Amino acid sequence: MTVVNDQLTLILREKVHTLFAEGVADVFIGYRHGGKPLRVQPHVARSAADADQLVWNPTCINNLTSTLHKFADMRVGILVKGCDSRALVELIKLRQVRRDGVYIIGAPCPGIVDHELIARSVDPATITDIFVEEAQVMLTTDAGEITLDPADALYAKCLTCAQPTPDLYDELLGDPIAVHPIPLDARFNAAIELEQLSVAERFAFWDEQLNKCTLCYACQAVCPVCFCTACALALPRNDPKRKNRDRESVFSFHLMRAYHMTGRCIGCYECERVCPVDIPLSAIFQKAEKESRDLFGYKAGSDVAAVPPLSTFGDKT
Amino acid sequence: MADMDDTFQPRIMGFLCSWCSYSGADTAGVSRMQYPPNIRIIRVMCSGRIEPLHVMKAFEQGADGVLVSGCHPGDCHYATGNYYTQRRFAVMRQLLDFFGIDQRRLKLTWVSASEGARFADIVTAMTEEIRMVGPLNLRANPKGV
Repeated sequence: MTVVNDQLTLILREKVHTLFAEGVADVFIGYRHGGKPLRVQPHVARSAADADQLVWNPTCINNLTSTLHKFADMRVGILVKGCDSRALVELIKLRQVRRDGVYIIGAPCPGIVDHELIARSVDPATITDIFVEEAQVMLTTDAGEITLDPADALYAKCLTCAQPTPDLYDELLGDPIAVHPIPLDARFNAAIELEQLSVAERFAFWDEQLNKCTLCYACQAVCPVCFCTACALALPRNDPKRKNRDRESVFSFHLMRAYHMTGRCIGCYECERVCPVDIPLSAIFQKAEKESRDLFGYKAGSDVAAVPPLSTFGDKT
Repeated sequence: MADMDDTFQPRIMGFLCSWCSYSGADTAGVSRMQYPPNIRIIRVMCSGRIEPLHVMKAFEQGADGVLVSGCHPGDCHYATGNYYTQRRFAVMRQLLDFFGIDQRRLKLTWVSASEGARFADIVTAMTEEIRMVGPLNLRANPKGV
């Protein structure tokens, strides 16, 4: 069984063939089918044969921009969704990626299905095709068509996505998707909910959540805009604090990472997706994004020329 | 030490810039102004040198409050250091609060070299405030700093 979106996948492969033939790119970073139903994995195509394995469908969740640093000395092509393109803007702004060194194929993204959510209502192995629309997610299965509410099928971040079409690209895969109006704070729901609690209740909440943290640093490794080669926050493997997972060390790591991501986090929430113990990290980074908006009127990933808010100062602040 | 009783004695970490606030603290000392002994001072070259990570490390190591102090806006020895500090700590206070660490535990003030009395007042007020807020106890296993 494979999830197919034949038309766009074929167009993508065709485009990548052209890129290779014209010598625009040496490698192309995209997706290929994963080992399990509804799963894809990042795929680095280096030849025409590799390019024929590329896919694009509504299960392509990974933010591929976090792998770009591995190809710094090559001419790279990359497939980006709306959220990924914002990460790319930040990487270019922070001088981690050269704009002229990367060829961007933008994929207007209707929303990505969460395989764990889908599995609650449908056996993923029986699904042969997925079609995501604004108001519904249509699944073609061996047993016939099934229609799901987006809330039961998509990642939470996709439900409140205000920018499904990349705004930084060399070429677009398919037609741009119209932006549907999203209430101003809808994207920060989880953070706002926590803000309603008292300080003591919030501490109790995070104490319980962060107690699960194993300091595996997966959240940091997967983050596209958390790119330092040596992290000031990560404890060495043999550090007793890491072994004991002392509360103060865990708090310090997460709080400081939130600070470092303020004015940088673009809200792809890959951190939350990869967290092996399901800490609601998106709430933390929603707060970081919200504060950068409220305090400095700054939106990460929107403008390559904008100066990061903590690298400058204004008239009053 | 005035009170040897069971009153909670907060541990306050002070990061003071060398040019204004540290000199201000010095003025307070030279002028024999009284202020609580709960503050431990670290002198840094500029308030712009103080990272939120320093603050977090202080909390991690058992501090109940952190005072960050620099030159008044416009008076920075390096012209603009304290403007960056101001932005950083505006964010940091929000994030501390979000993680359930009371905002009052982190204070950012401006004290000039001549303002010894102001420095003494700030430390007195902050010590009282933190005493009200109570111990932080972020360390799961305090080893008695």
